[in-house]
Amino acid sequence: MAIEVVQEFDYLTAFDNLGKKATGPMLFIEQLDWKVEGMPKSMVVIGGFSGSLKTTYALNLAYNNAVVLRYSSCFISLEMEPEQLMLRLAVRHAQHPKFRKYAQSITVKSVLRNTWSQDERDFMEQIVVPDLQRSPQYGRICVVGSSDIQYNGPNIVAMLLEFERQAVASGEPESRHTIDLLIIDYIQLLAKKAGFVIGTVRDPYRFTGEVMTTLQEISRNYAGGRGLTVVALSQLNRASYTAAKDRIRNARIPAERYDNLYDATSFAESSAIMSDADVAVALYCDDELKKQKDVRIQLLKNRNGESDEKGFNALAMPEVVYVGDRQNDTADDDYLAELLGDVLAY
Amino acid sequence: MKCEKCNGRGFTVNEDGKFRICICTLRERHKAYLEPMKAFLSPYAKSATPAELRDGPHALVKTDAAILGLMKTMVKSWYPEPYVTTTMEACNEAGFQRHPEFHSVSELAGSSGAFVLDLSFMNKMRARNTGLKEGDSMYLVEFVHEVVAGRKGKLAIILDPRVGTFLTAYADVCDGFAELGIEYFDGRGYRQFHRIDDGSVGGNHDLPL
Repeated sequence: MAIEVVQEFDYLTAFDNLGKKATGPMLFIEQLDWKVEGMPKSMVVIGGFSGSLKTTYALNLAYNNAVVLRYSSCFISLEMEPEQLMLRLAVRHAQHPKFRKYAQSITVKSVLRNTWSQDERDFMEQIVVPDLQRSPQYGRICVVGSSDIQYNGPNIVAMLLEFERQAVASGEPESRHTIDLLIIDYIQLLAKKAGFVIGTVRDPYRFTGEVMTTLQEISRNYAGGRGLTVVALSQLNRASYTAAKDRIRNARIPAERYDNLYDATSFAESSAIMSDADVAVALYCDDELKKQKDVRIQLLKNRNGESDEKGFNALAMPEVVYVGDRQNDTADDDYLAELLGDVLAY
Repeated sequence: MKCEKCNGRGFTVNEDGKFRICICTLRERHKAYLEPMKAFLSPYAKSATPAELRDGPHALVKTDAAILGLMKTMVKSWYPEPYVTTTMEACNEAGFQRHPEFHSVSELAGSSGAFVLDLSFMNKMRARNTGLKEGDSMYLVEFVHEVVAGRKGKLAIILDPRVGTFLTAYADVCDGFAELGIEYFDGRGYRQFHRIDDGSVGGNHDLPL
């Protein structure tokens, strides 16, 4: 046990670490964070059907926890190539308020299609990327592709410990030594691939349950009990998606048609996932919501407090890799007068 | 010309890293949202001051000031709920199962959360034909009932400027509206639709445009 003397104790560092240790990684959407209040050593599931911006939100989680709270994360991407995710993280960082003075407009499309101007490329190469990679103020983000991992619990743990060893060996500051957040995109793919690797013919539903239990074990006992936060993305079952679409089309009260879209049974292989998860979040996005730059978010399970099954809208801007809180100008009388003037002018 | 606030990006980021859709983008979206409403305005709308309307299901006499007032309400309270402009004829077609898309008034009422019901064109032939009028009135009032009471939707009914004639010719429709608690804005304030049994129309409602 370490001995500390009050007169010599480094209170400033302790105060700096207080928030981090007290809350663990956060979800970075206010309405969720007020209820969940951080997720240290927790198993978090983020569910959604294809195209509901799960990966974009998960990237935001990794990015915000690294840049704002200095948590390091490992992102296991079994669907997208790591290079694609790295490019998206750079685009996300280009939107940081400290780069406002450069007035550059970097989007995922302009980067991936290589349609950006030389100025924009210089801005990314010389300012954004060096800051993202070298600033000691940010946590590290390691992205792992499907060909780079061994599909079982001990090997995932070994990989995470190896990342930590590498950080120590390369002389990183102490705050960047530990991996605090493990993100898996997505759980059914991990279960499926693990099944193939092991070569056993088993019930896929049961196997997803086993993978979830393994991940929960990692979240609690990783690195001799230090633990880490595991965020597993999950597909939803087709029946619940059809039911949600049906509800939206035939809502008795239109203003409430996006309320209570999913429930605990909506996750594919739901019982295994829901029983092991401490926090379960569901995302929904359709063309109408996309037009408004909205995504519907429900907090379906919260082991530490109240949930939000009704749901709420958050801002979604996949073109700049953002899913998070929104702030809008209110329509005051001056604005309305100008707007009507504009409408009548044409 | 690029917006100075967002430099053409369509959004801004505050000091906390939270995103905000730029007012320039919102303005363009609001303009597109209001575009169909321009069909209700006269060429003299530019000189009209928007009337102050309340937020809730109601009818309004088709004047430029009232339509501009409705447009204000739509931006403040309806947006981004998509609205559909419909007519007495559409209710009729749905009710008689002749509508190409909706097989009942209920389906029509469920097709959107917000409606502008255009009754600004008075069909005198229909008003005189008792048999057909009853069907129209029934389906029209059923539609309004379904939207307002059944689905808690948003509804604005636009009335013919010769509102006195409307009240007389479509007395049973007005009776149904009155029963649903719908009032009409005549440019000066809200008034109740008269009930058939009280017989009074009250004042001269044939307002000039």
